Amino acid sequence: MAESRHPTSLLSLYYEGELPLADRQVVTEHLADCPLCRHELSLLRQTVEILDEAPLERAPHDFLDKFTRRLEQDERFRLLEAQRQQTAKEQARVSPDMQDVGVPAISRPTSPVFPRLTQGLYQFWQTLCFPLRLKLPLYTAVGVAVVAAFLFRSFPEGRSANRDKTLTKTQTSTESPRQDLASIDIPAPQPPQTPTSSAQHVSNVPPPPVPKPSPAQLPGKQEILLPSPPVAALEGAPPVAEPIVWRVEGEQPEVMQAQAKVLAQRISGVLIVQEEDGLLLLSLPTEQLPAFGQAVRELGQVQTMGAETDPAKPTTTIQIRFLFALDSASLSS
Amino acid sequence: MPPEYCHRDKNAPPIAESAQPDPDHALVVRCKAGNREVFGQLVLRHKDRLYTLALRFLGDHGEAEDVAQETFLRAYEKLEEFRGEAKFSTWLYQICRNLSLNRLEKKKEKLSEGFLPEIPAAAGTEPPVQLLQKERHKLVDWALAQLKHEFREVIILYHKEALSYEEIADILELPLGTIRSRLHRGRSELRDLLRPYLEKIP
Repeated sequence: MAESRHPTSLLSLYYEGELPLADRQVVTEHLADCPLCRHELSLLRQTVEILDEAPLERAPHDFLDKFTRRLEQDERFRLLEAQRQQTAKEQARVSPDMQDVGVPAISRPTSPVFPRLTQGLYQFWQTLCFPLRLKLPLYTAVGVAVVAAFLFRSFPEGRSANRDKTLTKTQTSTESPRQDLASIDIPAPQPPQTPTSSAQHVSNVPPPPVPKPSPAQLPGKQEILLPSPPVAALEGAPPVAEPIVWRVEGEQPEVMQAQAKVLAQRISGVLIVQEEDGLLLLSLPTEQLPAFGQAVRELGQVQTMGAETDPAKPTTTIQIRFLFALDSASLSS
Repeated sequence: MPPEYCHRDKNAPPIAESAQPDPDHALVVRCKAGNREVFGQLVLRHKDRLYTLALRFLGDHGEAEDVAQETFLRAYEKLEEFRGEAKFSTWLYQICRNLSLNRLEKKKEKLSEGFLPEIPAAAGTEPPVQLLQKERHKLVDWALAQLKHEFREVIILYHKEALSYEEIADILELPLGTIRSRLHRGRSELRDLLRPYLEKIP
């Protein structure tokens, strides 16, 4: 057979050097003796040379411009780009390590005027909100805490609002000093205590708010308006024992008050319930009341008002008001 | 036998190329992250090769440009489908080859006598050595157009695009042995087609 005598089908493989060694030796020996096959091999070499000769064609110079234009004009590709950016952001959130394996920096919102500010805001936003697996429970807890704090604050505010409302109502409804005095929160009669413990107790009692009198209300003498009790207390609650009121008038009310306080402190079992400028509220044993009254009368002119003394009670509450007397000359005379 | 007969001995085979890392990998990853500008770099890298491949298949510059443009648009659109198992260039060649073959089929349907270019006027009258280089290229294009497309595409990819067997096998999704066989058979047929001109060479 001619094919067996002329290995033309193997010449291409031989030319490429891809024949096994044994076949290669056979073809080499055949080529040495066969001018026809050498000619065929020569034609093959020329064919390959011509094939390889053709240079790489150059695409038109505006190839990239055309491509870019087609990308920009097609809405589909713009959406695709935005979608890829979004996906890349989500992947970066899930695995931030992606930055280390060649994933490019995600396109971030930039401002031509304040690029650093925008970058900073963007990083702050990311820090604030991501990753959600941490931030979501954290923010939920914060929200619950805020609501709880609001509710907790609303109760004291409500109570204080009620108290303010009562105070306003009392101020507008006070007509007589008797009603004012009835509002004073007088403690229940207590057994005699040592002065130290009494002072300690007094210091713990918060003073009730006492509005300052206006000059128009006090043309000649200082008046102290005390809040009246809540309406409910006046109407439904059992009546609170009214204190005995002593109006002590003199040239120097402050001095009189200080002296009266000293006199009171000498009496055993005295409790100073309240002490303000021009006002002294005492709780003292009833049997000591006449002696104390005599001592106070030596300080200035005393007028007794309010409830009568009840000898059955072990202690009596006395409210002493120290007022400045205008006609001191007539008083002294 | 002198060693000059061995083509591959003189020119290093690109067989090991596919084992090397894909130089386009980083750019592709950035494109997948939505960086459209980076894709322009990939276009610049591969536009000439794709254009040449389409031109060898289609024989028309305008159509070759269309196919090359379409190849890049398809690649940009389907970028997520590229998994990096083969080289990005191989994937581009695959798209370009498929688009070219599709267009070729349409052309064959339109033209009853075929679209193949006519034999160059110089063919058969003067030896190739005396032909101008441009005419020789036309002659090769004509001869390539006479081949069956399975031979033609392997020869184009191997000789015109200088791809390795492995890369061609990846593009055509065929075994290496089939690629080698088709290359040598196609080359032999090409030699027979060019024989009248080659034998004029003194």
